[in-house]
Amino acid sequence: MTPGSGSGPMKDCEYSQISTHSSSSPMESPHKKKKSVPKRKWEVFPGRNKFFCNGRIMVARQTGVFYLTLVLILVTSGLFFAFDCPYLSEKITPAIPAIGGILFFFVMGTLLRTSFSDPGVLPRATPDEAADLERQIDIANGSSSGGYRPPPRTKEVIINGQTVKLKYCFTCKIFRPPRASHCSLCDNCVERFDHHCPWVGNCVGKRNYRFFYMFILSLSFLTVFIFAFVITHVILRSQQTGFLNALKDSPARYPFMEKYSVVCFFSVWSIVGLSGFHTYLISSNQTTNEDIKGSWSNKRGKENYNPYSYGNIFTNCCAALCGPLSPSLIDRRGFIQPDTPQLAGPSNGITMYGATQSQSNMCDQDQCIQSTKFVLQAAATPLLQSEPSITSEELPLPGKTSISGPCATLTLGQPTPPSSMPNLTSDSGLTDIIPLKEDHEGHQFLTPEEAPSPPGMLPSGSPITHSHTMHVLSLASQDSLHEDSVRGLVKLSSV
Amino acid sequence: HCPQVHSLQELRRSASLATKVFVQRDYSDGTTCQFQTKFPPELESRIERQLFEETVKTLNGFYAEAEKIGGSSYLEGCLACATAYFIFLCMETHYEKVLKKISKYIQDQNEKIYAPRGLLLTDPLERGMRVIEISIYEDRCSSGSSSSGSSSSSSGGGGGGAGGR
Repeated sequence: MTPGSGSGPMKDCEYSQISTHSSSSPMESPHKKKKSVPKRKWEVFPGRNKFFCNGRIMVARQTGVFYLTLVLILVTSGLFFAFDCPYLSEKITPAIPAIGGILFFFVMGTLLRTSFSDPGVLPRATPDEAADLERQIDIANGSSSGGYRPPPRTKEVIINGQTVKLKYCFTCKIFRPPRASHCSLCDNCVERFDHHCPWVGNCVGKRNYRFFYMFILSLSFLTVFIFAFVITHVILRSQQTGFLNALKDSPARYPFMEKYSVVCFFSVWSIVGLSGFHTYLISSNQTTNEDIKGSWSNKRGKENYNPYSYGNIFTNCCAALCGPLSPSLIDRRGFIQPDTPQLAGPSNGITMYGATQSQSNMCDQDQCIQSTKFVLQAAATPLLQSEPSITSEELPLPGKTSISGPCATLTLGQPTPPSSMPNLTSDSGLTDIIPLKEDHEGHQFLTPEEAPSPPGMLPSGSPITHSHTMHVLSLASQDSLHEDSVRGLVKLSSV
Repeated sequence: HCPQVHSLQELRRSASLATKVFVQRDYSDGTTCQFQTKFPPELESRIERQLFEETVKTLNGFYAEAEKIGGSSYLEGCLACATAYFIFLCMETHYEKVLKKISKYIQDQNEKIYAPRGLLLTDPLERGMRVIEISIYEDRCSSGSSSSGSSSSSSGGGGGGAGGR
């Protein structure tokens, strides 16, 4: 039994199917030769994310720099374990590779968790909610003040004595909770948005901030560890045989050494600096976003203080790192109910928790293959029959919804043109290599501008638009290059 | 004759959705999940104020319990950190446990209190923890039901849709 919104006329036939995930509603069955495979919500997710392992893994669109991060860490650690550890474990103690191994394991674990988990994405508003909000805004502003331009959409709340402005997000059609922000790269509103990190290939928000912090902290320990022991190695060898001979003794490493020592040196300082910066942020309970904008700095006024801070450093740190972990709100692996709005289908409560638990499982090959097969299978079936996104009582027959219409409005659904993204990411990738003092700017560069989409968007059209987009793209979900070209083609075709 | 709606199944079978009311979040205490206890005017004729407020207050209490920062949450956090967060693969977090309790509570409330009055609560988790969605149904056979009085521009079609059946 699922509590959920109902749409009137179809209920007679469908009430027995509410608690199941079957998507074959009566009007679809004549079209299908076999039972239709229900779609999972990640396949129609409106944001610009990529999903793997049937929705368990979620990353941002541009993952090139993430692979670079992986390669750098793996290669540096690999070289360390291969060339330095044998010597050092003999000469000094075998605890060195052991500790190095533990650090490496911790770094990889937290990196993968940061990259693959949901940062705290807020699902977009259902059409009913959006309509209700619009109505309330109109009432609040009064029809007379409409004038020549729409009134600003902000709400003010008082939190712990501070006045905080909540902005309305035109893309997600919600008033953003405090500390939430819309990431233009991922096209999602993210709770407690910190920044979008290209190195990690994902946004950093409420749900993965502690993983991110542990990642950079453990990475700084690892890089310092490796750097220190590489130098120790060279020193010890040179004590034995002289400095130049020490370099000659490891000929395989010598050509690497200069380049890697430069990379190591800069990365050590960048990462240590970044850890220090985030330690400061955690202890004062701010996000990178707030710090850069100076939201709570004293310069804005004597009365300005951070309303979220608990007062002392210890509590702030504990709250950020050891506080409760809220579950993912987007329910990636839930099935889409045929009679519900595509944006937020009410799924069976148990299913959702199962999904939440399993979302953290690492994938296995079978699942990936199956999901690809399923995607291709789903692609063969007509798209919109299982997603009557207009569930208000006005349209009793979802089939009435015209499919040709949304194609023309395809690009309206995406506020920021994808073509601008790669430039942004690649630029900032280069910026990030510049050492410590510009590190903040490197990340700042990616602080999302809150780009409101044109307010004149069709509210009922956009869910269809998104599902259409996602369907077209799900065919190529595993291949980012193909996806880009498909998206480009789709965009061109709609012009 | 117009039988009063007694159960959720009957609700879905015999009633049609008239409108939805959204109870928004209350951010005055920060980013913790709390909902406004303000009584929506559309429910004026459908349910007693006190029952509604009690439901919302209980839900608020559950969410506060889920997000409580204290001894047990620290323990969970530290243990998770020590295992490089791999423990989340096998263990259910405290928050998830409370969410299950909430889901049960809402179901319970729906069966006992809201469905008999032609209302249905939606778990906020299904709406991204933004709102408590209350669906107001009108009996198919009742004419000029009370909720139609509250229909506004967005749900004006709702009244029409129900009539258009």
